[in-house]
Amino acid sequence: MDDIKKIVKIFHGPQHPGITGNMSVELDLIGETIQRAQTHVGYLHRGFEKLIERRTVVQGFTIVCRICVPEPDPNEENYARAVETLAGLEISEKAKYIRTMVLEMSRIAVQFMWMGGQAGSMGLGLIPQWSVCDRDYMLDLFEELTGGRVYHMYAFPGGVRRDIPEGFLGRLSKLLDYYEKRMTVYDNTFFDNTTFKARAIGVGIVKKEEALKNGYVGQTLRACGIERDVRKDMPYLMYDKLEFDIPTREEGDVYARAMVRRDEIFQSIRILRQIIEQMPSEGDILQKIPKHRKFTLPKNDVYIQTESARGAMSYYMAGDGSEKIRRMQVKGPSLIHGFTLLEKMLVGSELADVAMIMNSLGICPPEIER
Amino acid sequence: MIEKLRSLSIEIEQKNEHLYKVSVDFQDLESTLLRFLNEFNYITLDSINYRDDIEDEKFCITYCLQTAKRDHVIMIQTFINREEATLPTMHRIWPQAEIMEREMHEMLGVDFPGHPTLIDFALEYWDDIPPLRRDFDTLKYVEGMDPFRKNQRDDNLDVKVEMKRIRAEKKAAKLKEEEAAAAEKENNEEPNNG
Repeated sequence: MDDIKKIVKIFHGPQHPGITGNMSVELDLIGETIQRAQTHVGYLHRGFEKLIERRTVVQGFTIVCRICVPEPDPNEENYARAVETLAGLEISEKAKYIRTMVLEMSRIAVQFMWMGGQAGSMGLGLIPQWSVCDRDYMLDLFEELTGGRVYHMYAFPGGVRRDIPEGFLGRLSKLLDYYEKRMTVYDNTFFDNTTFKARAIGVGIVKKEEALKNGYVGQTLRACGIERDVRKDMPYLMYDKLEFDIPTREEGDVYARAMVRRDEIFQSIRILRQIIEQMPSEGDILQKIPKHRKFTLPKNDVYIQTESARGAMSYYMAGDGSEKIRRMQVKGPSLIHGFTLLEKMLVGSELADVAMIMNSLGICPPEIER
Repeated sequence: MIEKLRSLSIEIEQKNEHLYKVSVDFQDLESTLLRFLNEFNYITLDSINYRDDIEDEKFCITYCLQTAKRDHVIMIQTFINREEATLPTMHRIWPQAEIMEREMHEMLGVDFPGHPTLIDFALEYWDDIPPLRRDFDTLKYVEGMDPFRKNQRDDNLDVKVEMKRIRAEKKAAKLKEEEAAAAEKENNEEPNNG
């Protein structure tokens, strides 16, 4: 019997198909049950925040999109909005609509990518093949709009870099129709899947009372019944003019988080349909901004939040009167979810559930290390 | 909530519709954070932000707090000396402060007495200046750590010197061309003279 109780230490990642990027979780196991979990990062530290300090405002813009690979747009939005707030730039209504549209398109693309990861983590191999393919249709539109499929570099301080191509909104509308129909297939094969329900219900539970105090965000918060979303609580861009609901669940487990994400796809489609209808045909897309070397930020600081597809993402930015940014600090959902929450949540879980729990928390390692 | 704070004669700077700032002395930091948590229900610690104001020999530390409604952010800002930088740990009150403080310890070199896990965060066995201090030179560090770049990169050229050299080369080439053209012209003219 003593042999069975022996503690075995294993590293889940950084080379592991069930890890959500370049990070590692050190696990102490007795049998299949986790006794202690410790997150290790540092495999992807590229020093973005330090790099920004050496660059001008315009040069910094090409760095921020790389902070989270599957989701560059909220980073671009935060960076652009922080610079605009410090520099006192006001952007046009059309630019605001376009940026809102890009954020919602990005949200759908991220949720399809997540669907692949979440299903793959429990052996449902067909779903990733479908959902990654469906995400690609959105990337096609991103390529048409911005010139880039993954990194867009589109939301620029003062507006956006390019106008919408002719017929773009029609093609977006057509894709939304396709996604709506397609969701029925995902409901049948994934969200109502018996295996998924058996594995995910009652696993990785977040308690409501600790969720707010510990600073959890996004679906982690909404899946335990707390209706918080930056788009509603502190509206930015055009969100106060658009109608949408915040999906919530009460259970707080992996399945509840998945269902919240599913419902959010429909809300994003709803928002995008309104944008397509309301998009102004006329208007500046980019305000006149100072030339590259003369674009200075005053000695001041600001704190900006954007609701990414995984939760609130915050930027602290400080200027010092020069053309370089004194300090830019990124705080995405992953820092707290990957350490404070994950290390605690994994204790008592089964080894086979680690990948599934990690996926449900939306952890993106480059965002932790910056 | 903001009106309530103002009525208690707490000096609040409104930065925009959803952002407010309160500046406090370092000695009052912990009591202010606890007061905002217990009296005014700012229950969420969203982030701890830091920057190096090297000219003033200070670090600027900003705690961002939110209420359960999360409809605004309040920044509690303080300055500490760069030398012997120490802050009280808040991990017993907000568990998420543990990782934020651990990061700040590694990146800025701030000490947190009583913190349980001030171990490596993203860097391994780091013994240089904490990298997010302004006096840490990224370029010098990169050039120094790479065995193939001990004597700087092969392509690391001084732009001004290079521009001067290119201009001089162009000028010399142009002069040579003109001389050759003049000599050719002279040669062509010679038979006519004979």
